[in-house]
Amino acid sequence: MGEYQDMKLRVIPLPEEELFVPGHSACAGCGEALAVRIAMKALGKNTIVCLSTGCLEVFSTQYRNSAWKVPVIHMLFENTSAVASGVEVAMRRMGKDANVAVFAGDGATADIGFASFSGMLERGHNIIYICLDNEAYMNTGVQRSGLTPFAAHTTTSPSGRQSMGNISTKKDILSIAIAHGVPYVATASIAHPEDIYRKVSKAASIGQSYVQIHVPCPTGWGFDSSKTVEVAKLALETRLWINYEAIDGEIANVMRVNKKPVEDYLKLQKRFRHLFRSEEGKEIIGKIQEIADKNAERFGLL
Amino acid sequence: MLKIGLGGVSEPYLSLKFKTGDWGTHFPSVDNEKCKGCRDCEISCPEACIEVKKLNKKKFEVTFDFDFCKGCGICAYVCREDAIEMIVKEAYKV
Repeated sequence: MGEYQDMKLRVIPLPEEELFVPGHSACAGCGEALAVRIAMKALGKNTIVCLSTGCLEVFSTQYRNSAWKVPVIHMLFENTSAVASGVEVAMRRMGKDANVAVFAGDGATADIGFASFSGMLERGHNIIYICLDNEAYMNTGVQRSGLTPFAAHTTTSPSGRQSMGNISTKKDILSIAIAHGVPYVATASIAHPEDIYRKVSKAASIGQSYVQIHVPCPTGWGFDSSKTVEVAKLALETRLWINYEAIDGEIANVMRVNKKPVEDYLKLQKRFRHLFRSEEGKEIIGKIQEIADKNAERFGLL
Repeated sequence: MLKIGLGGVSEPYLSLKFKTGDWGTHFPSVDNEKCKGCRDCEISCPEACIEVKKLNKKKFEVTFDFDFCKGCGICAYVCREDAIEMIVKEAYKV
């Protein structure tokens, strides 16, 4: 408590109206619920939301128990972007002006829905695609996805005597989106809700855009529900997550925060606890530090 | 002729009748004297159940909607003045 000092972004008064109301069945301290609440404030009432299958769809759109005030369509994992493209074209044909937004998880973006996601970006639809990155398939019980970080324990990449968790590193979807020629690509984190608001507003004004939000998950990552914001903040400070924007392919506005060693971030979470139990784990922590240093070097945060 | 129905359609805002206030083991308690009105807690609440009212130039009043508060404790963490404290509910005291 009380360590939340270096936040200098308090400038924008957020709109009062809630378009994503309480009463949904998210876990206590859910980062996803917070990110969606802020993003909906930025998108406004004139929005059609397309949801892929995932935690968000399950906790907010149960039958007769919807938490949304805007029209919401639920799709499968693999065709969210395709249906959103259809909605956008139909709105244009009918001469109606509305934001079309997609809220998809990391699995729906990077693994299962990747083909239709790539097609949507290629065709240049005016869709605000928001990826809620909680680094595994949380809804079905923490299975590994393409965005799971190196050495994290999940049920399909378990840690033990023979294994040290996930063997591959996080897929760089941002660079893939930039390579498709998307005019506005950004990352945000729930450690700075105003930053989410600013970036999603900007995305809505530009049109075609991709925003990836880092949303810690208390249940899947294994930490206390009060630490959601703290974990998100430590990910930024250890350089394992970088907040930046890419406007027309040029990286800009990299968020600068004080630097900390990666252990501070890892030791808070149960999914990394195997790294602190053996000698081999120490080597793995060294490798994670290398990943963080590489990130810092790439974005000029040394 | 084949008729296609709309499928499962839910009306908006119906989740408001589904109270989640009894889920948590803790509840927040605020010391309004310490509050300086930064609104961090209001913005960072995943359930949108905190409201910060401005009474006069220096005084603020923080109210929680206990119908929906799940007692996660994010507000207590983000508070710069340590004005919010999480208290264990009577039923969960050992």
